[in-house]
Amino acid sequence: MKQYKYIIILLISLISFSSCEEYLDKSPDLGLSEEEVFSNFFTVRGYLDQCYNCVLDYTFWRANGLERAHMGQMSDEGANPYSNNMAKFTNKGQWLANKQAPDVGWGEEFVASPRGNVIPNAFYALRVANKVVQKAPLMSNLTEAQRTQLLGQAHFFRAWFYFEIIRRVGGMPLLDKAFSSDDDFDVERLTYHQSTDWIIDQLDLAISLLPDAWPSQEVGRPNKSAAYALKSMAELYAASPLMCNPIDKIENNGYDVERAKKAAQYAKECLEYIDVTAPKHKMMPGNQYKNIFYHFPNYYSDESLWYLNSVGKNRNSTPDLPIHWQNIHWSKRAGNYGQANVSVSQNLVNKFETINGYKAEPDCYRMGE
Amino acid sequence: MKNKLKLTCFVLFLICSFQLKAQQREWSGQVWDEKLNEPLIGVSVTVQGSSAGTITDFDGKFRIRAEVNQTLNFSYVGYTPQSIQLRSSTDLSRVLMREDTKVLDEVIVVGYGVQKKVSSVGSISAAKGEELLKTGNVTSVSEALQGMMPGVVSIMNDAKPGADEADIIIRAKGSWRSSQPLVLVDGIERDMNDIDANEIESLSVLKDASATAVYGVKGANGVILVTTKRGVNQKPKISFSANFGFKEPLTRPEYADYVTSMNMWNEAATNDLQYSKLIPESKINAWQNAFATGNVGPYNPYFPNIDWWDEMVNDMGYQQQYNINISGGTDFMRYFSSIGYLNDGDIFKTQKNELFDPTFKYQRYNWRSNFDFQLTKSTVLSLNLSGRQGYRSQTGYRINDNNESDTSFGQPQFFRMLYTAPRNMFPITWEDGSYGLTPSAESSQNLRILFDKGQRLYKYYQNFIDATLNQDLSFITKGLKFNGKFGYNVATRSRDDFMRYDNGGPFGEKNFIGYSREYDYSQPLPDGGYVMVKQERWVDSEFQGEKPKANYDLILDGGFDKRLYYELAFNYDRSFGNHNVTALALMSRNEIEGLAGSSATNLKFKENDEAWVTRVTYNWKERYLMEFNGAYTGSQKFARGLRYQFFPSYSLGWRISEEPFIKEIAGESLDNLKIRYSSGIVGYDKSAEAYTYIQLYKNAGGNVSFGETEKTNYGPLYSEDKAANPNATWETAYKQNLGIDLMLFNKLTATVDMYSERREGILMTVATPAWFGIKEPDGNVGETKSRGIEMEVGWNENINKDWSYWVKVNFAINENRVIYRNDAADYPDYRKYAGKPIGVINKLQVTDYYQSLDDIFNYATANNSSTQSKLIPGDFMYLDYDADGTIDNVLDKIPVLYNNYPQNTYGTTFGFRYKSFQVNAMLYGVVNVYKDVDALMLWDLSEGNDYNYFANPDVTGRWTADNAANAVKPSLHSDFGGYSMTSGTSYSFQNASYLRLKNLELAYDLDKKLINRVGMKNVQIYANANNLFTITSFNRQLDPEGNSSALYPLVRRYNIGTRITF
Repeated sequence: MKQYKYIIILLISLISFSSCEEYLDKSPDLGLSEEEVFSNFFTVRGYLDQCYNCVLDYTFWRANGLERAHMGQMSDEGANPYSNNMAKFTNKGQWLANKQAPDVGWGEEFVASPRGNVIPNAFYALRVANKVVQKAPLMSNLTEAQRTQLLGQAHFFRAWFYFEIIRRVGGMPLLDKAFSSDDDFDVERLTYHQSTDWIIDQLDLAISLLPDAWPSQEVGRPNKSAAYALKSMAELYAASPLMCNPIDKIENNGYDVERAKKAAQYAKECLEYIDVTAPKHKMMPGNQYKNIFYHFPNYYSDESLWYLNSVGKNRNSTPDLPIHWQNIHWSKRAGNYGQANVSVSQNLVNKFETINGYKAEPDCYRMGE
Repeated sequence: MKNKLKLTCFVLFLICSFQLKAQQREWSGQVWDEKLNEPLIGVSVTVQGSSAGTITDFDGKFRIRAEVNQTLNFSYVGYTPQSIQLRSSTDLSRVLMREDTKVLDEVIVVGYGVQKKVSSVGSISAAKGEELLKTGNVTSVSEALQGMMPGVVSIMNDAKPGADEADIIIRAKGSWRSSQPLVLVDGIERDMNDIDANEIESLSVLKDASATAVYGVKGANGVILVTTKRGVNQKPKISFSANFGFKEPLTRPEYADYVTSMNMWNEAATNDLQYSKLIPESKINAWQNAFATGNVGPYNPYFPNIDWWDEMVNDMGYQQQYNINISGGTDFMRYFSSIGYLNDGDIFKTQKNELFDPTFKYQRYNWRSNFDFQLTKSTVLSLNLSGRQGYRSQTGYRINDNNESDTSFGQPQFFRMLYTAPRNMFPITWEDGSYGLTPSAESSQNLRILFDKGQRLYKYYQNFIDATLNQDLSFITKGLKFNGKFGYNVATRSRDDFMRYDNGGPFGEKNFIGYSREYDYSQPLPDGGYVMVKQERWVDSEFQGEKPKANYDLILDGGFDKRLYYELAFNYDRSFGNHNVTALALMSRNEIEGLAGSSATNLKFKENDEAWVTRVTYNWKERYLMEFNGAYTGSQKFARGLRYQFFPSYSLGWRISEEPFIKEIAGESLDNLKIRYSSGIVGYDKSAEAYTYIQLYKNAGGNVSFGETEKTNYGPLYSEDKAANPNATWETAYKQNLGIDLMLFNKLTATVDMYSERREGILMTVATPAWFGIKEPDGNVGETKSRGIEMEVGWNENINKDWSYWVKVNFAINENRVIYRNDAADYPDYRKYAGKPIGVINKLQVTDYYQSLDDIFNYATANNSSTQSKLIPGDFMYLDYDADGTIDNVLDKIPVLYNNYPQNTYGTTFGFRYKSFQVNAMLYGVVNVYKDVDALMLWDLSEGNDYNYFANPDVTGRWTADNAANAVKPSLHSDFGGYSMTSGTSYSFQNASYLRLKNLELAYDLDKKLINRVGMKNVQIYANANNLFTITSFNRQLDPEGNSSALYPLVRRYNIGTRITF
């Protein structure tokens, strides 16, 4: 009997030594947890605002792999002795086979920054927007105004970035959630039209949530008119013969008239809305046409319904010269800047008439004629 | 019936007694120990069937009365009993008794305990401490293991004193992540390399699931258990050993002579149409003349000719090792204490100067005291106090990091200079004593300067304290024991820097003042000199030298850690008739704290782990064996709920030799025949990154700006880190092992093990679709398999009292395959990892030389335009494997047959003893290993663009139009850098298989009678050598094991020494 007592005491002392899980619970405080980020308005906004870095900024010289060249170089409109990758891919016909190719490259080198490729940036931003759409409604310490603000932008960005993708590569699977690593990735691809329908849904939500105008310090965030306009644009693309295809074949069956009509309808809604709510936005009259992008510090005009705010982003820096069809070697900087000398081709010249209204033919170049 | 039997016995007895009575006489003789060849005292001698008996006296002699035809039985504890039937002519003057080395009672150390070898069913190789001592006095335990056991591969990568431990792979690589085995010293995770081999009692290598499952999540790559010596209850025994050694490098660089090199350079420059690079004939002629007249030398200002290897490398480096230990005990206390000292010296001609000592050397002090206190009859308290202090000193060269491992940037560049430093550009010193430099005035090319820039002194301290309490609990139930263990390790690592000049960063460029001078060899002067056309001073003309500088006691990154270990265990061991049962229940924990690996100031997160271990063994008459092992172990790296897993293994054994009918057939000759099988699961968590289950966000900084006219920043931005995988866990190995142990005639031993392993859940980056959005998570998706055979056959024979010999041969064959490694779906098969060995190597295949310009233009083009434009006849033609018309550095690299780590190894230990003279040798070989040869030895004149012309001795065998059929290497180029595709080709991948006389030892025991007089029990004098010769077809300038010019050269050691016991 006495022996059992010993055994029991020993067993108890061994077992009560601890509970295993707690002993190994050393989860370190390495960084921020998801709970912390989604704990208040300012951190969530800081998270959502990454989307603005993912928007393709045509005015930034490093956006889209542009570097020291300009878009014309990718076609027959210009040439550049500076052999940057962009021109190499495109002119060699390797545009779709290279991960850093501008516009369609899948390389993730600069993802989530203005230098990132469009599609990886869009996937990244979609994840951010999806997370906010998922989490913001559940947060308890947001005011209704804050929640509306976040969700309005998130729905707009869902539409914007999804549109950026599908108009480049066609219909995509529905990307309406932030996938976690154990999700099933084997999802079905939608047609372009199905994808567009989701965009329209998102924009309807955005229209209901976004403000008519932002306070002056926040101008640059999308407002209602931006969502209206995007809606029309997305629908118009969907009417294109290429976009009318199912996912497994490509044929030309002409425009989708119904969608074109809808696009026109959305455009009308947009214009009507502007007339009533935002009369400041208007088509620029003909005599101001040449100044349409001639604004400082932002390259926008009253025509712009939404623009990427470039204040303070040095869009007037020397490397940005090619954006304006200027030769970068005029920057008088050495090295690659000096040699990256864009020359327009005759093809481009031929597209314009001379100052006298003649066709641009060799004997017409004499000045003053 | 019974009566009949009795009657027969009675009659027989009568007959016998009649005979006995008739011929009884007195016999005398002497009993000897067969091996030691010395008389045995106290052997009991009895006459079979009678009560008569005696014991041998001080000289092993005895007298006894017995009759002819009676049998004398000799017995002695620890010796095999001996019976001799008496004939009238029987000579008893040398009755030999042999120590009972029969495996029957031998025990081996297994995880958390010891087992009888005969009834053990795991696959375990063991070595005794003495064997480790006979390996040529190598300085680390890991190197000593080379070739000793089948399936234990040890690879030497460097021989820098104090940083020369070998990499160990047990059985095979099971994963591409890590193959590091778990090493435990006295049951606690510790580094074994810095233990003095004199302290080691035994070393066990656990290989299969049965043996390793008790280590659960740590054991999948195999386990090495080191057990240190303990005292026994006897008079104090003092052992002293001293060793003095010499060492020399195994390989050295070789060159073509300078005139040939210059001529070849001109050919190379011509090949590349680089005529401006040609060396003037006047210069070549002047040099030719200088060599002919002997007007060259390391200090010759006009014709410097330096053999840096001879200048910088000593013929011999020195090494010393001493150990003294004492062991013994009383009824209350047993002890083993040891003090060891190692001084491993330098093979370089480095010299101490007034400021510092740039010698490469390692001084190590080891101490150990193992005590066992018999507190009560049933309680033993064991206390181990041990540690080491190491001082590793080396020349100060540029090392970028503060890590203990200084093999990253700096070291390869430094040692490679021994092969590449200019030999004919400047003298070591000019006549005025200033140093010679290259024209670009970089001082770092003069090795004399390089080896005198400063010193680094690394200081290592380790202290180990363990206490174990063993309590016999037989009062509860017979056979039950309790054991509690506590262990504490502390280690610190720090360094001192001494710099000759305090400028230009750690061991920077501004130091010595020197000159580079250039002469016009076409303008000889009357005094035998030449017109100097250029002179440059380094450092600039104002520089007069700087003050020296020193830093003391800088903590290395991760330079402090401590480990607390404790375990509680119950052991049960009892026999019920023929049923033998043992059981173990154990709980252990590790708590590790210290500096983070990359920091000298920040602490890392505390690491805890925990294990609950059980083992049950059962056997019937030691004939049918069964064992079950299980460990419920945890790792804190993973999410709640995934931290613990139970790792079970079972094994079965059948000792066929114990079956009565086998005994009948085989009789005495079959000592042991055992078949054993094991199967089980073991894990490995070391290669898994910690805490990947937590999804982290970070403050990404930055901001976005809004505002139409006034810029307003909104920030900071927050971003999501790499995707978490809440399901991440360790990799799991499913192991099976089938083994056969055989022992015949008490002489032949053989062990064969066949095994297979499937490794699943190797943690690696999982491919996710592009739209996943963030960096892909790690997932347990990798999978491999491996299998192999290990065999060890030994033969041990004593021919007579003077002669005995032994041979032990082992070999191991292994092959492995990746089953899944996240290959892209559209990859062609040859580019996938799946289906290929772990660590597969892809190379461009050399098919031929271009024989003509036509070949160059007709064959596939190189995808690198600069390469294509430089091709000339005699360059390598590479296989265009994918037949796309382009030789591509990625797409045309195809897997080669062999790996660069050994999978097939063999070792042979053999020796003999003749009287007091003993020889021991070990051969070790690896086959089917291919390694890259340094491009330096294949592509000549690689430094020629820096006016440093040197070529290999076989340079004259290069391809030329006349020599096309017999070419041994491609035609020459002057621009090595521009001519790409010089790496990653089958040309550089050469057969690095080798057979090496790893170790040879000659030992002589001094005459016992002589030394007993001066109070010594045993004196042995020995001479041994390590890496004595190597047979290989690998490049002569490199050792096939180290295969690099960028390391401290591997060495051959010669030692003389003595082992004395008092």
